[in-house]
Amino acid sequence: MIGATLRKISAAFLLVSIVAVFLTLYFMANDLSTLRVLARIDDMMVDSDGVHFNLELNFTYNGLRPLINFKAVLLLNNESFSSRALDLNKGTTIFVIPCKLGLSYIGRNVTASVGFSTSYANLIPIHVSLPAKSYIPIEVIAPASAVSSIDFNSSHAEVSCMIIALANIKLSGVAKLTSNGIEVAKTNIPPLKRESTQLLKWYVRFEDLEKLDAIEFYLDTPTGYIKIYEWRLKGG
Amino acid sequence: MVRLNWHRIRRISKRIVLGVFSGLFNYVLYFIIPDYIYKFLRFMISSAYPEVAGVIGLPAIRPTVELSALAIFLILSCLSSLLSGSWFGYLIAVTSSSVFMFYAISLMNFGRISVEYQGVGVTVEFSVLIVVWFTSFILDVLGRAFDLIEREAKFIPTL
Repeated sequence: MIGATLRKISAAFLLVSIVAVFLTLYFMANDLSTLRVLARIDDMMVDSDGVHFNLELNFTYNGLRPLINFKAVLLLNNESFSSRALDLNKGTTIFVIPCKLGLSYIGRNVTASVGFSTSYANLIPIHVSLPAKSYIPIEVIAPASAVSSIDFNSSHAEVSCMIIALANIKLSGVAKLTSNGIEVAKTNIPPLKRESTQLLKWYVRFEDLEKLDAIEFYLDTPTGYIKIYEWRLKGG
Repeated sequence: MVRLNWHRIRRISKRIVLGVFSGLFNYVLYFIIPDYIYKFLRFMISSAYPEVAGVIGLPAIRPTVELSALAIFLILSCLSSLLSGSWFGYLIAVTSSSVFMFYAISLMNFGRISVEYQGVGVTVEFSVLIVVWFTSFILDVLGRAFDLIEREAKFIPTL
């Protein structure tokens, strides 16, 4: 009698646990399908240590059960950065992930993968990583005006353009006018504050003016000059 | 000397048939269901992230027949069935159940199920499930033992 009862309870446990697995997976997937994320880079700063920025992730969730201890994780080229854990209820929750990258990443699209870890129904830990996308462009400067030139004297022209800083840049740099990758003229760039503009000027001989095809921007770092941006002047 | 009369042959055949059915049932329970959990999870990812999925469809329950695994399940179940009703059979049955349980749990990566589908990686930790399965296993082992105590079973089976 006791034996039969125990075996019945055992079978019930087994059956219930199997059904529970499939139901949990089903409800969990339904809840997770309502989760949407928008990413935005904020407070970018460049110093001799690297590029520092905050990645702001807006998670919108409409699932039935709250996602407990939800922690957003950012994988940037094998480096992992994570936010602090919060409970994700219905609505929008903002997570801020402080990140730091090497200076060599400036001017490149960083392959990033956003993921999260949470506990579903406060019982089942889940870790999800979304497909890697190159959606984090590490840009610290951008052109703010067209390139113009005026006669400076009988032999040289004054070439100028305006740039805007997209980050607080605490390092100085140089901007080079080039022709087929060969430097024609260069000018210095001082450290810049975010959203400030800077007028750059070069003096170029008239015969070199037509040959100019790019402006290359470099940062002066402790390990040498690092190219951070290239502005093509002739259709590519 | 054991005499094989018609009655005994019928009893042995019945136990072998029961063993085969029990082996098939165990194979479904401990092999096909854990395998299907992975397929189901992959399907769930494709429905949760339709942007990464191609065709979304519930996976069909197509039993994956692994002959070596199936043979082990059948042999152990038949042996348990033939020797049932004795303490020796109990030892065999407990060993078989342990093998099946360990096999299923190892298939499920000891409760940490990881699936990657079109770049989306999901890891679900079903440690609770493993605890429930283990509890169920212990209850089953105790239940069998109580059965034998109640029946005042011998160590060697009588077929």
